[in-house]
Amino acid sequence: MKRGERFRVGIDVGGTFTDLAALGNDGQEVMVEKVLTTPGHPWLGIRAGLGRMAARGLDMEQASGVIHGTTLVTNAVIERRGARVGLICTKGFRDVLYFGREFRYDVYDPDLVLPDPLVPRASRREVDERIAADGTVVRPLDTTQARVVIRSLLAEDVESIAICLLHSYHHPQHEIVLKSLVREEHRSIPISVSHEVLPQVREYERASGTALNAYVQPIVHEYLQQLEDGLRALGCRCPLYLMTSSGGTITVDTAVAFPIQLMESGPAAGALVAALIGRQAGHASVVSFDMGGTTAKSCVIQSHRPLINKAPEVARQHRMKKGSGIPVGVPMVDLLEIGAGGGSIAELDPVGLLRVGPRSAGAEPGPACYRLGGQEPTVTDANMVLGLISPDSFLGGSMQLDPEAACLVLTEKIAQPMGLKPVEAGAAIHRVVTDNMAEATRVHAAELNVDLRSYSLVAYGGAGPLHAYGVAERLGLSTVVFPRNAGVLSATGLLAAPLAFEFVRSYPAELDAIDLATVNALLGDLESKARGLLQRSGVSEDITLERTVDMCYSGQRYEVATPLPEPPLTHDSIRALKLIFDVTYESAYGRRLAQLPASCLTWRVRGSGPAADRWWRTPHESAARTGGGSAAEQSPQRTRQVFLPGHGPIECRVIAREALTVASDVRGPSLVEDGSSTIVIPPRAAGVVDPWGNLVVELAASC
Amino acid sequence: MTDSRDVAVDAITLAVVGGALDSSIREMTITMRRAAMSPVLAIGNDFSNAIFDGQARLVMQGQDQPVHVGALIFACKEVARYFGDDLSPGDVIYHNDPRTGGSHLQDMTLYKPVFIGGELAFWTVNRSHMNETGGPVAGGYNPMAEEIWAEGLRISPVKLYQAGRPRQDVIDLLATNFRTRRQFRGDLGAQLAACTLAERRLVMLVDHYGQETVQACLDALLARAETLMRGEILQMPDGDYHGHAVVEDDGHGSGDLEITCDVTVRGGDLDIRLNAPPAVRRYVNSYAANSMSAAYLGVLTFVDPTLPHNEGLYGPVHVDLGARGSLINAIEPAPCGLSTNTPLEHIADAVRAALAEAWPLRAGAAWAHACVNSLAGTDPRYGEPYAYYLHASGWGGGGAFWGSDGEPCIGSIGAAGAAMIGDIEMIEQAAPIHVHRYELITNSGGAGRWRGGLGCVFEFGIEDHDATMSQFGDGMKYPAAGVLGAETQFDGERVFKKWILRGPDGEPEPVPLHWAGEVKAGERVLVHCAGGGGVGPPSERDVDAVVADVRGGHISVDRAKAEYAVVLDRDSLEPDRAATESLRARVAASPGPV
Repeated sequence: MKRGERFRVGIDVGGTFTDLAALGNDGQEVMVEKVLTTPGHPWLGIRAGLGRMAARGLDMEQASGVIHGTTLVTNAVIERRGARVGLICTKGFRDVLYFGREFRYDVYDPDLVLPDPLVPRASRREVDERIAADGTVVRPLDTTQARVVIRSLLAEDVESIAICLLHSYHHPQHEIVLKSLVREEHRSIPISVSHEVLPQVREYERASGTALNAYVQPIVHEYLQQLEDGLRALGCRCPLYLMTSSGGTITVDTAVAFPIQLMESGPAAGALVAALIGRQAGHASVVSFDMGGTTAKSCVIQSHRPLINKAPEVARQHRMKKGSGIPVGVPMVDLLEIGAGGGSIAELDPVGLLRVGPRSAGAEPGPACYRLGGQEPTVTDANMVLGLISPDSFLGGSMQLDPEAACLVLTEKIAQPMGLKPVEAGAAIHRVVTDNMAEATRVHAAELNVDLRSYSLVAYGGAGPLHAYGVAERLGLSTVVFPRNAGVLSATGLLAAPLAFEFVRSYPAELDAIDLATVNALLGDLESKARGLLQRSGVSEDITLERTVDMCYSGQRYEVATPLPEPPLTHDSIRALKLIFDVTYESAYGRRLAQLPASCLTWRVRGSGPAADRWWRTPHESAARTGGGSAAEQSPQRTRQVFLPGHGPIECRVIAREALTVASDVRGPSLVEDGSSTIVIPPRAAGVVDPWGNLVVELAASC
Repeated sequence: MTDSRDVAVDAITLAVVGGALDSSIREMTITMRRAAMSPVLAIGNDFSNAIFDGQARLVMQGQDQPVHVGALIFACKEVARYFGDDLSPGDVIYHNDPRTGGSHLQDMTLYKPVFIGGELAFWTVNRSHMNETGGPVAGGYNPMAEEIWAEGLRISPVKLYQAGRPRQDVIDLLATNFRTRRQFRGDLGAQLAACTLAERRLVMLVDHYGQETVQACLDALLARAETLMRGEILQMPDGDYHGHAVVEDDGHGSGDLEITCDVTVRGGDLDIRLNAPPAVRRYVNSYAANSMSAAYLGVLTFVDPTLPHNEGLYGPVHVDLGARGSLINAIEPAPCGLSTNTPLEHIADAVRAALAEAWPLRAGAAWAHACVNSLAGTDPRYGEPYAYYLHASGWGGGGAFWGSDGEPCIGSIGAAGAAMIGDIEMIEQAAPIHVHRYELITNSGGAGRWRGGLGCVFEFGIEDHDATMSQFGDGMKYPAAGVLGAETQFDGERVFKKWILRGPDGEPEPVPLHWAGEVKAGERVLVHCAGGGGVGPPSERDVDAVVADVRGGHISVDRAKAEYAVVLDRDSLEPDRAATESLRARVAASPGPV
């Protein structure tokens, strides 16, 4: 990076690696760095990474913004390292967290486990008050009794207070009084109040989200303080922003007040960058496909935006089963996690049916071919036997793999019992794991009401590029994009996020019974909150406001986000809203129920600053490297005999990714090796390198 | 391509086809949850999906309501037999009659025969609990009915679509018979959407692999399920085992009705012989298909949950329902409105009690019965009639399994945790009631080495209008039975109790098991839900688990000592390990209740 030039830095702290990326404000220059995460003290890893970037000429005094994503919050919940929380709730309802959804996520599993509440029963206290669904005060708040409750909790050394009363999403008056009472009793204890954290109807989700917020607040506060101080000590004078789990960015103050917003901020950045790469390649609708060692993650991106899950959960007891975790309540980028990775173990069930995953050999002992003690055949071993992975180009050649070990274990555990040759067993494993991922993605898409057939796949992660062609074929997708810099995609994704804040509030009502004054006041309030926060974060113009309401036909449980007409709403616009909802519903479910009455539930206003990805519209790959032509012509011809599942034994060209330049074309069957992975390009497919360095492959129509 | 790949195709294609069926079923479930209109489907999830092959054999069942699926095995065959050759692409069939595989009249089933290349290749099927049957009592639970004709409209198999064209006259005939016809049309649309979606998936599957290959896979999947089931049964020692369960009353003084189950295990075969007294005059009778569902459900709770759920599982399971005309093998004119709760739960309980003897390591205790109130009246907020089935008033604790405690407020074994109560805030939006309390009842879970799930107190009031309330189900007299030595002297109190709080001082007036009557503005209803049964002697429960239970309010200090033989300090809630050890030693020396 040239001296004196302004830039922004993205820092993504993951479980294993801390990735850093700096991008010049002219959108032209990038510097990336990867260091080991320092668990327990993530700042140390970040400092090491920034130190290495400084040694390469980066002057932190010139930074104009630092954007940070972290899995700290999620991990604190999974490892149950949060604060001792006291929860104050409405009299008669202290067991809401214990009862949960009254739902068994697998009806036939006798050993099913549900998560323990984050707040034990003894720390859940009731106050005498009650507000009805329509806002009527049934019982006024007994402030004397409330004080006794607060004092007793404080006397028991709780470290954080959560408040969640019934119907407070729309009638918060008692919560407001309670909050001030807590503050009077204790000057500094963190307080999470449900109508501020998550003003949405459904008390279990709201109480759960509020308790989560209180649970992680002290940890997040301490960590962000340390991070801010540390950056300042390095000379950094720019604001620090945090990536939210829904792909927006927020200030440190907001993050400290509502840490629940940070729940899955690292992976959200990965999905954002997939959206960005889709944009570069000219595809508005893409599916990201990130397959690593243990799991694969996918995300559906529509109109350049990752789809959002409005009812996400964390710390699942059963990783792949919805309903087994703790509801978060705040929207999160909708990531599907599948128990399929390079380390997934292949085995035969009692009647000889082949199963792959979700058991994984992980990094230790790892696949048999790592020779670290792995005794079970994995997907990586299968790919090794098929010849798709080269034994000496793994991790840029720094780790030698053992094809013999892979073949041995595959033969003994799978091929012999099934009466197959080793390559056939390898192909079977490759195919089953590919199908698992494709099927899971397809069902997930069905849940989101998305028909994937016109989508493109963006594939990354250590194993993603190996399986991408098979997943794309099974899903009926014709284009696969393989990004460059795949190793630090999340960190660069942080830089692609716009400043954005969403404010929500529930006001449930049948459409015909909506009180216009109430709803207009509500929308006005949400809008001024969004504008205010954007302005405080330095955005004064170019603000985009999006207003939606979650609607359903009266009686249904699932709502559809419906765009609102321009405020203020009038009787005419309410009539228009019904039509908009009918159309939105039809496009989602393929039928219109216009004769039925509709209901509104939760109202949302999202304010966002100018799209940060305008920085990315210029190609960052040096234009001077544009060469074009066939890759095969530019590098010495190398080939390898492989067994390609779905195609059989075949001779593939082997190409080093560094040999590819802008406009290089690659024809299948080829293998492109890039140090961290191998891209499989099947027969009749053809790829070209776009101006940003992404390899865009078109699969043959016949596939 | 090469022969080498064709060898591999069998096992692998099988895995892929099985996976495709599984995801088609999941998509049907998603469609239903999203598109259904009435709360019993949209929140209660009271529906099931299934895929049958061209020979009307169940090849995949969904993770929906276990109560429906066994019955569908018989229903689909009846429907196929009824129409014979008179089926064409684009037909849609509707049906609810218990005499031909229906459960109770509320459960209405939509069948879509799927033709590929002119051949009948599949059936996609959805059974849903509709909130109206068109009988004299809204909702179909009519405690006064003495004949099935008084419970609502019986629908023998009828085509709603003929070769792709809707028979509007027939659809309108049905809708006309139901009070909530708008919801009926919406729910019917959801059923059709689910079955049509699955049809599309199956056609794609056959396009990809060819009908012959797919059919070969289906045959293999059925055969594998049977082999796996035999493998499970082989793990039970050969022998004869016995269980029983008691229906408390039909609401008209029938008194206890005992259902017995004799199980014989011989190698890989399981004989289940059920017996019950003759059918009674009221709605607690069960027709054969519903009783078969109950028996299958009992067996399913014992086997590996990852087995492929298709008809092959039941090949080695031989069920004899005893004499025709009995409570559990009813014939016309027996009414059966309550049969999917009572006696379905009791049949499953009897089977599970017998199997618990055969296979203690998989044993599970009885779950609390469904014992539910529903309300109807005119909603003063909109001036429109409403009917609301209050799950929270009748969903008790789940039974423990060997190795795990039961869940609280999870509902009857027939739903097995697939139906939700929903949030109080949403209930108060949906129905004009006000909920005063919803909290756990200490000591309500059956004691055991693994504890039964807790019941709750649910108290609600009607502020501003008069409503009619009905009460139906079971579980006010007998608690959910524990197994393998889980009984204690306190079990008798772990039952449903209900009162209406009337008058200026709210004097409690007990609500009997089967009842319908008025609740007036300003009155409240107080419900104590039953807990689930425990597994194993309570004095063998892990001491730390008992301490955690006491701290969590699940068990009182006194009961920890009296039932679990664990001594705790009343203030600190710390266990006295020495006292506990000596108490437990004494209990071990003198068998019987603690």
